[in-house]
Amino acid sequence: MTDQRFREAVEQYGDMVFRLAYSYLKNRADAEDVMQETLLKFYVEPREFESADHEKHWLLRVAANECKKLLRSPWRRRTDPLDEAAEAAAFDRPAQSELFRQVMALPPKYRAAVYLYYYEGYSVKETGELLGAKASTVQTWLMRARGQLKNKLKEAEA
Amino acid sequence: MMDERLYRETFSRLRASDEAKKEVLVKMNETKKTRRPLKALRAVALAAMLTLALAVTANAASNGMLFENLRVVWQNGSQIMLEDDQGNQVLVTGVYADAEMKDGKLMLTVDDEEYDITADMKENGVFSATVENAEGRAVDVSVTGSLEDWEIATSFEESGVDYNTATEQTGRVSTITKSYTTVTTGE
Repeated sequence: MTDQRFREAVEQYGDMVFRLAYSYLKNRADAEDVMQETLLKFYVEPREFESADHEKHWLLRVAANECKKLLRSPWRRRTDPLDEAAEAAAFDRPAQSELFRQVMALPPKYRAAVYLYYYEGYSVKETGELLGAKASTVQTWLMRARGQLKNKLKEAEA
Repeated sequence: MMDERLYRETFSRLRASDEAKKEVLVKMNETKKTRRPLKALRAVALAAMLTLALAVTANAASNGMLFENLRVVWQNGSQIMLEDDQGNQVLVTGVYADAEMKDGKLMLTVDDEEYDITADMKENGVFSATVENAEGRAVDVSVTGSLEDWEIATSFEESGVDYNTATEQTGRVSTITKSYTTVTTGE
């Protein structure tokens, strides 16, 4: 891979990988570490990707694995509530801050599935492939996430 | 129901810092050491990969490419890149596989994933599966023997690569089961 292509890839995929990693890890520093690690693996990956979709799928898969590895690692930074609050405060509208807080209160697997399904537009089956889970399991995660968000947002309104 | 549009609007605001993006470009060029301490087994695996890389460079030298003053550009759990002062680079990728008894169970480790293969080995004397490693490669793993005396063979398919093969047996120190190298000539 040329240096120029790598620079383009950082711009093209950096935020996408970061969003998935933040959804998983809820910690900016760890998510940025995962973004860098994933992109550097991409830089040295010798294979030729069949398409842009294949390339994107590979990056998200590697990022998801890096996140899972980090979640099991004793070296992982713990979530700092102030860090999360600072992220939430950066939104323009209170509705965005509220939704962000509620999504971040979900379990990590639910947050990652919600991101891939609702933001990246992957199907349930594809989301399962990316997260190493069965489609039926992802379906359950999404259903529970929707249920929890609905209840929590209602509570917040009340 | 979840407000999908609001979700997308909200999460589109979540972006990596410019500093982190600049840093990854620097890391692309600069010497990079692993930031987290390596597990002992990983250190052994990397040492084996380094030995293999040096063998590869010697081979390359015999074909007219001379590698001198090698330095480690970066390394992670399964890859190591070396570069000489002419900018020639060698990338070695390895698949780590090992098995050990833990609490009466035979646990197979492929890269960072662990699998309990006790039942298969007890009943059939063989465990065979295709697993995906951290880089997304499909790795075929086959363990044969018994709980006390086993042998692991791994393979992964990729076109145009130079394979170096070895197998892991009970009690051996070597932990690299398969690796391949990519050599890039500097300008």
